[in-house]
Amino acid sequence: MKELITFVILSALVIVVAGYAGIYFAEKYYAINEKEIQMVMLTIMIITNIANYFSIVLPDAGKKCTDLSSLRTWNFTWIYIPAATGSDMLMINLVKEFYEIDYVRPDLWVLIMTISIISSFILYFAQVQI
Amino acid sequence: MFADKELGIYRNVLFGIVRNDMSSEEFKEDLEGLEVEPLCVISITDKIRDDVYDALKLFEGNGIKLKILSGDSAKAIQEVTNIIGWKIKDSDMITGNDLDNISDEQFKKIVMDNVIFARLKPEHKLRIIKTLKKDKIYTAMIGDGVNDLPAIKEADMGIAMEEGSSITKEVADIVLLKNKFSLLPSIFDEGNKIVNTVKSVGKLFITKISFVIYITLLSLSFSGFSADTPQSISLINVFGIALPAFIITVKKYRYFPDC
Repeated sequence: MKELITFVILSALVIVVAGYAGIYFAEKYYAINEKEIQMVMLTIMIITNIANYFSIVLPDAGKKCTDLSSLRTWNFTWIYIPAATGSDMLMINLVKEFYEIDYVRPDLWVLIMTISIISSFILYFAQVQI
Repeated sequence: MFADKELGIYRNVLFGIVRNDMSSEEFKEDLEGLEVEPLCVISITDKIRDDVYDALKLFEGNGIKLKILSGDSAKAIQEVTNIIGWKIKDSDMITGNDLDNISDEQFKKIVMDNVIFARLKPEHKLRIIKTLKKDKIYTAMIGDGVNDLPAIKEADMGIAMEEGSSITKEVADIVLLKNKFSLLPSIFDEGNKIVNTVKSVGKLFITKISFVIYITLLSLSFSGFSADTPQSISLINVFGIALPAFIITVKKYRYFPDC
């Protein structure tokens, strides 16, 4: 129970802090509108959520047999990334419309990936230590 | 007498003619004074089950600590443990007599520090299980005889053999069909899968709920910007809960080195 509560508090905190850090740096270093700020925060939180999933699965999957097939399953992520990078296929358009995903400028992707990778590593290693 | 004839490692049944004029009640109390003319001795030994090695490997691989609680003599247990590759010294063996008339503290120390317990009565086994449970240790007791019954009943998980006494099977949580120890890894595996799947999916759900609460409180407190629109949350649900929970449930992660 203690382990569960610690895990949840830590994960939720890292995800939210990463999202707000995205807003802070995007506003500070980029000329950006409100919709783009929302997309930055959302994208960072989605990527950190995926890291959260790996921090649950990978330590438990067995020290000698990390289940890499679960990594492949994350190809689903490629539905989201093309949508946010302005891809214009039929399926992608449906997803974009349904979830109101907007185009994210390439320069913002640098910020998004930097914050996402840092927060994902923090999250993963903190959870593995617990 | 049995030890002199190197029969100490067996369970021995002596058939003979009693030469004293003692009633059965009397010689129960005074075995030393009993004069017997031996007719024959039947010596019985336990055969190591072939599949016990797999079960031991599983326990060792998963950090499960084993203790042998036996009614047999220390010599008999030593013989069996030698076969399975455990080198046990005489000084490492605890007998039922060592456990009598000692305080709870001393009893706990002996139980924690030792692995092999010989010549135990049912009440000793029960006390050992109770001591371990009191220390918040999850206990499983495997046995077949009536003398294991109280301990099996008290343990968090009682496991009986199919060939065991019917009352033991009645109180046990699990009965190993065909007395197969090799079933234990799959039982353990299945239990692990269920518990870990529920735990993992629970973590995902509670994490998502928590960070939505954080975001909502932060955006309310600071009138700041947040991404908690219904579409955003449902998109996070897809990537943060729905897909991971689906994968975790379908994949059924194994927890063993041989996976």
